Amino acid sequence: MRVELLSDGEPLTRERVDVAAIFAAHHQGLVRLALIMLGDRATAEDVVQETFARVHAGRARIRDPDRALAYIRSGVLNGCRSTLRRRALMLRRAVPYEPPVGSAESTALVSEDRRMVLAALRRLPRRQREALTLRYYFDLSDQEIAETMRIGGSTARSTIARGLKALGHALGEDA
Amino acid sequence: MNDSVETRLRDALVAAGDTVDRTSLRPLVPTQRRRFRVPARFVVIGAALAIAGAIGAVTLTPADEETVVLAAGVSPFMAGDWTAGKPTIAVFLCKAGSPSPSCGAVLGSGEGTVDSPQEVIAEGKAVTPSQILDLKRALEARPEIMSITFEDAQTAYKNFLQAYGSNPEVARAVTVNDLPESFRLTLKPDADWSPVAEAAKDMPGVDIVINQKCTSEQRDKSMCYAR
Repeated sequence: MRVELLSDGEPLTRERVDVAAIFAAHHQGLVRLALIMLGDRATAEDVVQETFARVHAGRARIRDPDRALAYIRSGVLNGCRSTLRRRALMLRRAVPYEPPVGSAESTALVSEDRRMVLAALRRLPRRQREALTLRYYFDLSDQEIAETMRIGGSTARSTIARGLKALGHALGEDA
Repeated sequence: MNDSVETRLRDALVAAGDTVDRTSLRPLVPTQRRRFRVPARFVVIGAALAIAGAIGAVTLTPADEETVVLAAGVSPFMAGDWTAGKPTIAVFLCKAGSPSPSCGAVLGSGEGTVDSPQEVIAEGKAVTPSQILDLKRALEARPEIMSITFEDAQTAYKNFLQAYGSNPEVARAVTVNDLPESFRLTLKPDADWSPVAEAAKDMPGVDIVINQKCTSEQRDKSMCYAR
């Protein structure tokens, strides 16, 4: 047990990781990550905002500033997972949901082939989808991916390899 | 083959991601947090009020770390641990400048945590000698009480040093003036402490009544004090 003594006039500020700055710098990237996972922009922004609020409230809990970004990415991924889970529950009783990433405003930007790739990506198992996105969109190393997804380094590697193979298969690019 | 999948995937992800441009992003709003410029002593006392009755000393564990913030000047809880044979009940008397509402202090809003400290708007008043006498008489009249001792600030300081003096920082920061006077009550066997506490806490000049046996045994310390 560490005992800290606070004397009069001593400011109560503890050295804290500047979560707001990290989010400001990576806001766009995090929303993109969530968008690719979720398929719609509004929910993606919500997930990032919620993660931000939660991490910001508990920012004193982050001990290692170097790993703060990985922690935050994990938070966003987790938020996406919960959203997808909720969505899947609701969809059991509702009409199939077509995420609008491949439609609406983005139709003009995302071509037919890209839509196919994204659709195939979305049909992959969750882990493979996440790992492929972190690798091919964010160019993270195996170690960073492992840390973000809270899995082992070798698991990350094999997940990427397997995901890539499955994706190629789905797109008809048989080896 | 795989190269081409990789390229197509990369391309599709970039295209999808690029639909999000920085300028149209909703700004992130941080959680609200109040800041007061109050002396740390009061800040921590404020915090102590909210979680009164921690372990013998006023300890305040921020949710984030296993750091225990030990506040100088917050004395009632620094009464030391209870061991068998020692008086069970401590009736702490008000000190001048007390931040406790039961001593007449007025506190501002705030949750009493480090992030949201409570501001002391008006300080409490010290117990008067006649109030001490009245209290002593009232306590002597209680049938549940076997013996009463009065602990003055000097004795309290001595006991405090015995309990916490091994930590030089703590010993240096706490002075005899930080510790309140108290009545230490030993109850008759099997006597119920709550009527005593109820009666004592409403007497003028009483800050808080703490059952030390209870604080040393119970996990839920909120059961162990009355103010």
